[in-house]
Amino acid sequence: MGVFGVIRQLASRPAPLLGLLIVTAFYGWSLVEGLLQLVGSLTHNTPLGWVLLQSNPFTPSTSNSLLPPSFSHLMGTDDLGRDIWTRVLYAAPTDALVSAVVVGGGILVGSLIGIPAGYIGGAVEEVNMRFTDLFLAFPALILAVAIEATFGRQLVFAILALIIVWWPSYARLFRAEALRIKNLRFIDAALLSGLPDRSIMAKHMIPSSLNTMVSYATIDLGNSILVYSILCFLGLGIPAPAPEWGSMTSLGLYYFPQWWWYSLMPGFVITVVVIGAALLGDGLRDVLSGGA
Amino acid sequence: MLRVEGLTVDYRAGGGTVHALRDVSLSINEGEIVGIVGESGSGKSTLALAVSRLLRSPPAIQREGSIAFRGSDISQMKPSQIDRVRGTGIFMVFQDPFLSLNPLMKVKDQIAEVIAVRMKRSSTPFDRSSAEGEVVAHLKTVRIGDAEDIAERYPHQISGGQIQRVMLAMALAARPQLLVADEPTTALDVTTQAQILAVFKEIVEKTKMGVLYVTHDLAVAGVICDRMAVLYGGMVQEAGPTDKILFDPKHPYTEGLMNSIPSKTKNEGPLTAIKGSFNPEGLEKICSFAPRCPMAREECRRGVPAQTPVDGRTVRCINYGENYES
Repeated sequence: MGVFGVIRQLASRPAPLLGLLIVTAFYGWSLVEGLLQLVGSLTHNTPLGWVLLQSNPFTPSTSNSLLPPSFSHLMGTDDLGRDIWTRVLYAAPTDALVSAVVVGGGILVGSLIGIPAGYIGGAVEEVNMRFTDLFLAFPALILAVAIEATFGRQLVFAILALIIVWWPSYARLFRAEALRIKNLRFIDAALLSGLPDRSIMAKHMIPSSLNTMVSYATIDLGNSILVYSILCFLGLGIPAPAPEWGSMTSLGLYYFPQWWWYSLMPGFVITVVVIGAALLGDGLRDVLSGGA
Repeated sequence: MLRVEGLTVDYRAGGGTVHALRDVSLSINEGEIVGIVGESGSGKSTLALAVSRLLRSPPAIQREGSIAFRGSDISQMKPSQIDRVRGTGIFMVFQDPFLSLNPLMKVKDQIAEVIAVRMKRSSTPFDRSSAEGEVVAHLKTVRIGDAEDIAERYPHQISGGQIQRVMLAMALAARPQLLVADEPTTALDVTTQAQILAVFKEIVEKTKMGVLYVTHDLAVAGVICDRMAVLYGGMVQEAGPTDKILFDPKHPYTEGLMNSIPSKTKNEGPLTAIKGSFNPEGLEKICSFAPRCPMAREECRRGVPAQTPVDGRTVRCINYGENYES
């Protein structure tokens, strides 16, 4: 079953289809908008970042401040009169980047620690998994807050902090998969072919654990966005005036409940993306474990 | 080439101990097919796995004996040494075809993997396209008709018989000196089985590899093996040239096995089955077949019968002299 087969099966039921649409829209938009922003900043032509948007997400216009949602301002405007929907769209690439890098980094580190633990066992397993437990036992948010507080408010450090708290669950997952796969006959066959352990892990174990990993990681994309938003909500994201979903939600709280849209609209967008990822991940799990 | 001596393997689990193999000795020379015949639980798969060093320990423990392959004891090797013996030294074909190939890799990639290992060992540069040519050639040798097409497929897209042929093609690609085959045709239907056995014999004649062929089917053993050993209760009960054992069995167990094969040509009435079933308890100090043997006597329980040479083979039965293991 190829990629298209998987997509066709996903699209045949409403919940996974909805998830697929949300996730595709989010990452699709983020890719386009992110590239524009990147090219814009590299060519010192920042307005390129908002050519696709309704207005400049940074320019205040005091006459429009705190307008409720309407057709001209889908999600209303903030205290400085900036269109919230525009700022949400402008902020999307950051969240997409964070989620992809954090989950990707988690998978990378987790597989390096977890697969040898499960496959080789013995002392390697003990050392690797106790090391994992050490990180798992540490409260994720506090570790992230500490790292950012120490090294400064920069996107790199936020991502780094998140990867550090993110990989342990993947290490456990990969270990469990390795334990399952190493007892399959084809691993014996590969051993008998004279393949050394590291080739068996790289060429047989990792690909075989991808089915499980793909569905878990998809759900996790949403989780990482959520945690990143929480970091930003706590004031640890990228500094103002750059828009960010979590920090917008946080700032809007000063104007709650009278100007409810300022806080609730960005929060609503976070919720939609997180739920979309969860629906898609759930659907993927059904499709990937059912077929074969 | 392969010399197993006094091999004793126990399984320990949940406080109990099962003697899977007791004092098993056998040897295999180049170009020779040696059959291991026995019923379920006789220890034949344990023997195959021990020779390939695939026994999982725990629960398996090799208590005594040695498995010498080209002069060095496999059971004492370090993991890095065993890696070098596998593939080009010892290769194994498994009983269940559907589980022995990686479902995520194309047939040609799995065979090419074996070729890559072989090339590396002989310090020959690995060339992808010539390896793929070799893959197709091996697939043709094992009588896969549309070899080019099958090579491009994934394991779930081909049949069980084809997978067993692919495993044989892998064995050809590895060019091992010893091939361990654990019931490679059991999961297949009879016509496929006959074809694969024919391919098997042809390959052995051509490559001069030694084969340890494990089966529960005396007919299969009769077709393919030069010598055979009948295993019961983890012990070799009778061992010698295939013809001698099949046409003139001496051990009551071998006789019982022969009698329980239905005749192709005449109706003999109800089949004679060996009564009872194998129970490993309380067999340490007696003939392990005694509880089920129609000829069992008082003397059978005096000790474990020793291997006694009778008419060109060895038999563990006191009917051929009251010799016991010390």
